Amino acid sequence: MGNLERRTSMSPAQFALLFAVIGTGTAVLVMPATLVPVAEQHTWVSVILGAGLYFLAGTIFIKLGDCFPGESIVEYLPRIWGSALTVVTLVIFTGMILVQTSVRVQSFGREIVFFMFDRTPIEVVILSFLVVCTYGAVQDLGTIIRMAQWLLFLSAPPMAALLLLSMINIQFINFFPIWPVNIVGIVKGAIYSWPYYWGYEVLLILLPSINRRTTNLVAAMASSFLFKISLMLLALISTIGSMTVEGVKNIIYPTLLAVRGIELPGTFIERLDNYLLLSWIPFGYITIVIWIYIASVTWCQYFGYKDHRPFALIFSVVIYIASMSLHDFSIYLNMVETSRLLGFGFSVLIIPAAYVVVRWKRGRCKDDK
Amino acid sequence: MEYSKKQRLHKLSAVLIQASTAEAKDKLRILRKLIDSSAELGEDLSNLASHLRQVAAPEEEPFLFTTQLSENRNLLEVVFRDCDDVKYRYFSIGDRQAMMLYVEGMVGSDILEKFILTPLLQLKKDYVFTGLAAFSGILPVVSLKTSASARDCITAALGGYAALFVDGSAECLLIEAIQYQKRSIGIPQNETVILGSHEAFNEDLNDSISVIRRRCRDNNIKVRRVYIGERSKTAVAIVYAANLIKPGLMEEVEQRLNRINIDRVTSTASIEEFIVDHPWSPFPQVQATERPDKVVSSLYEGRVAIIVDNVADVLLVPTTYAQIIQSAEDYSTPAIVTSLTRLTRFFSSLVAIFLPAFYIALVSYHPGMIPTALAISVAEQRLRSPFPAFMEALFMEVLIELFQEAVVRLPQKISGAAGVVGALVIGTTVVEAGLVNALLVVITSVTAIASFTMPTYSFSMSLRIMRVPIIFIASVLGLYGLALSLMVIVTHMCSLRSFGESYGGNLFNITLLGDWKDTFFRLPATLLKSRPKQLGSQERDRGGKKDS
Repeated sequence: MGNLERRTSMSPAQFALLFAVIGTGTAVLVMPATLVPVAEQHTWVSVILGAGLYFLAGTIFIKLGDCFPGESIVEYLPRIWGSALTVVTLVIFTGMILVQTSVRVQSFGREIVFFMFDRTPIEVVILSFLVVCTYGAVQDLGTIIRMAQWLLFLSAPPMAALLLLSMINIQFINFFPIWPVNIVGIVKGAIYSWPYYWGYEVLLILLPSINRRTTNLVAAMASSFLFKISLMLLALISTIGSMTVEGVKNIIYPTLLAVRGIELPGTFIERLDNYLLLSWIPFGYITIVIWIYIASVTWCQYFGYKDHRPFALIFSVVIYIASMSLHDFSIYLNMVETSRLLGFGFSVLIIPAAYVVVRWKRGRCKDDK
Repeated sequence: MEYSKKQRLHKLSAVLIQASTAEAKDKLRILRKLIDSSAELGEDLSNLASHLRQVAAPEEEPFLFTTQLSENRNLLEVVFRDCDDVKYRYFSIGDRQAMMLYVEGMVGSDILEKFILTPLLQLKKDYVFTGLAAFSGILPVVSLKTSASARDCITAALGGYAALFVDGSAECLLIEAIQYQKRSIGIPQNETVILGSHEAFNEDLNDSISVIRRRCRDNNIKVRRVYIGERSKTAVAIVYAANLIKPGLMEEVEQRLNRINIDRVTSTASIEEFIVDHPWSPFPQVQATERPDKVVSSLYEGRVAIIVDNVADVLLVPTTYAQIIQSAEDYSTPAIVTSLTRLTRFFSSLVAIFLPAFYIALVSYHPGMIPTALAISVAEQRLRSPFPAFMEALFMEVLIELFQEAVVRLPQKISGAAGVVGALVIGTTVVEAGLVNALLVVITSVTAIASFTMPTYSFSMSLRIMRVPIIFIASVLGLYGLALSLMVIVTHMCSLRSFGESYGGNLFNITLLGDWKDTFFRLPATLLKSRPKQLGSQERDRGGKKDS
C-alpha cells in the first residue's frame, strides 16, 4: 500500500471551488477593460447573460459526460464521431487551452511588469512564473484540488475586501444613463465574457473523478458562477463608479487603478493596488496549473500513459514560447480574439454538437432526468 | 637475568646498542605485522569454527545447541568472546551439570540469587531432571520460556534474561531477570505546560507503554513489537487504538518499520527518516513528543504511536501541519484563549518565514507601499549603513543563527550569559556600528520570536531553513518573488503526505471544514463530540460504542 489517500477523487463542492479559482483573478482585473467598451453601462447585464450562456454550456458538458459514466472525453469521443474527428476535437481543445494560457501568461507578465517592476524584463517575470506553475502542474489531481482550495481561501477574501473598499470612491451618477439599452453590445459582451467564465471545460476530463453521491454537480457549478458574477460585478461597480464608462474604456487595468485610488484616512497602508496584485497572483497561478494539468492529462490518456508529467513539461515550454511571441501588442490582441473564438466555438458549438449526435444515436441518456 | 629480560623488553636500544634507529624501526614494524597477522589469524580461525558449527544450523541461527553442556558452553564462549560482562555460573541439578548464562548489569543480582539460584540449589541430590519445562513450577519468577534457538538465547541474554542450560538438554530456559539502570519518569523538558500532567516518557520501552496504559484502560489499545537494527535489535512498539484507526494504517506503519535496513537505532530521527515519504522536505512529517497525554489523545484520534526503546520521545503518525501547530497546553486553557493562541501561531508561522523577505521587498522594490513618514525614517536610517537591504538582512540572519546555535550548544549556566551578550550585540552594537538599521533589528527579532512560538522545535527549525532562500528570492523579485515563494510552499505542503494524509492541504479542504473546530480554533470540550474526519477514524463519535 503506497498511499492510504484517494488521490483522484473530489466532491462536487471541491469541483465548485476548483472552477471558482480558474480565471477569476483575470475576470476582476481585466474584464472591465474588455467588456465595458462593448456593453458600456450595461456591462453588468452582459456579465449575467454570459454567466447564463456558459452555465448552459457547462450543463451540456455534464449531460454529455453522464451519457458515458466513468469515462473522460478522450475515451468516449471516438464512439461519438470516430477517431479522426476525435483527434481534431482534442487538438482544438488543447489549442484553446494553450492559446488562452499563453495569452493569460503574457497578460500576467505585462501587469506585473507594469505595476511592480517597470525595469525588469518581462521574460524574467514570465519564466519564473512558469517554472513555479510547472512545479504545480506535475503534481497529482488531489494536490491540485487542495492547492486550489488553499489559494481560494487565501486570495478571495483580500480581493473582495479591496474591491469593497474601492466603493468609497464611487459616484452613482457614473452609472447613468440607463437608457437607451444597447442590445447588440450586451449580447456581444455576453459572448466576449467567455474568458472570464472558462474553467467548466475541465469537466470533460475530470467528470469521472467527481464523486456525485452527496451534492448536485449542477448546483455546485451554479454556485461557482455566482461567485464569479459577484466578483465581476464588484469590479464593474468599482471601476465604472469611480472612473465613468468613458474613463474605463481608455484604461488597460481599470480595477487596479480604482483600487490604487483608495485613500484610507489615518491608516498606514498605501498603494493598495499592489495588495490587489498580490491577491491576484495565486488565482493566476492556479489557473495556469490546472490548464497545464488538464492538457497533459488529455494527451496522456489519449496515448495511454499513466504519468502526465512529461506532457506537463512539454506544454509548459510551449506556453513559454507562445507567450514570448506575444510581446507585440497587435499580435497579442489578435491572439486574445483567437482564443475567444476558439473557446466560444468549442463550448457552444463543438461539445453541444457532440451531445446532439449522442442524443440522436442513443436517444435519452440513462442518467438524464 | 630477570632484570636483563625486562631490560630487553622495555628498551630495544639496550640490546641492540649498535643498531641504528632505522634498524630498530624495521624490527618494530615486523613485530607489529606479526601481531596483526596473528590477530587476523585468530579471527579467521574463530570465524571458520563458527562456520563449521553453523553448517547444520538453519539460516539466521549461529549454531545449534547440542545435548552436551560443555559443547554448548564452547559455542557460547565463541559467540561471547571478549565480552567480559557475560558471566557463566556452574552448579548441579540432581546428578546433572547445569550452567547459567547472564549479562552483568542487565540482570538483577537479587533476582538471580533469590528467585533462580536458591530454588535450583535447594533441589535434592536425587532430583530427576525431566526437562526444562518442569522448572516453571520451581522458579518463582514471572516469565520464563524454553528455547532451542541459539539466536533467541543470545538476544534474550543481551536483553536481561538469564539462560539456563542443563547437561543432556539441547534447549535452554530463558528466565526474565531484567533489572538494569534506567532513568525514572521525569518531567517534560521541551513540552512543559502550566496546567495538566507533568509526566514525560523515559528511555525504557516498558515504562513508556505503562504510562500510556495507565491513562487508558482500554483493551482496544494494542501494542505490537518489532525489532529494528541488524546489530542493535532495538525493540520498537507500535501502539494504536484498534477500533478507531483507519484500516490499513497500522499495517502500513509496520511494513515501513520492517523495511528499515540499518545496523543500529539510537534515536527517533534514524527511524523517522526511513519511514517518511519525503526525507528531503524541510517539514517534519512525523511528530515527536515526550508527553504521554499527547500520545493518548492522538491514539484516540486514530493516529499511531511508535515507541523506540532507549529513546525518550514517541513518534506520532500521520502528522499534519495543523497537528504540529497544536500544543498540549491547548486543552488545559479556556477554549477562547486556545483559539486565539492557535490563530496567533498560524500567523506566527507566516511571520517567521516571510517578514524579513517582506521588508527587503518593500525597501528595495516597493518603497511606495511604505507610509511616507515611515519611508523617510527608514531611508534616513539606511543612509548610515553601507550595505543593501538584502545584505543587512542576511547579516542579521547569520547573527541570529550563530546566537541560537551557541545558546543551544552551551551548558545551561553559560547559555543565559550568551543570550544576554547576543541581545546586547544585536540590539545596540550592530546598530551603533552602522552595520544594520534599527528597523531591521526589530524585524529580525520579531521573526526569531515568531519562530520560537512554534510548539514543535523541528517545525521551528524548518521555518528558519525556509527563511533564507525566500530572502534571496525577495531580493531579486520583490513582492512578486514573495508571492511565488508562497505558491511553492503551498504546493509543497499540499503535495506532502504523511502516511497518506496531506500535510497541509487539508487545512482548507471544503470536505473537512468540520475539523476546524479543533484546528484553527478549539471549541469547548462539550462541542468536540466527533473525532477529526481527516484521519479517517472508523468511529467518529467520541462518545464511543460499548464494544468488546
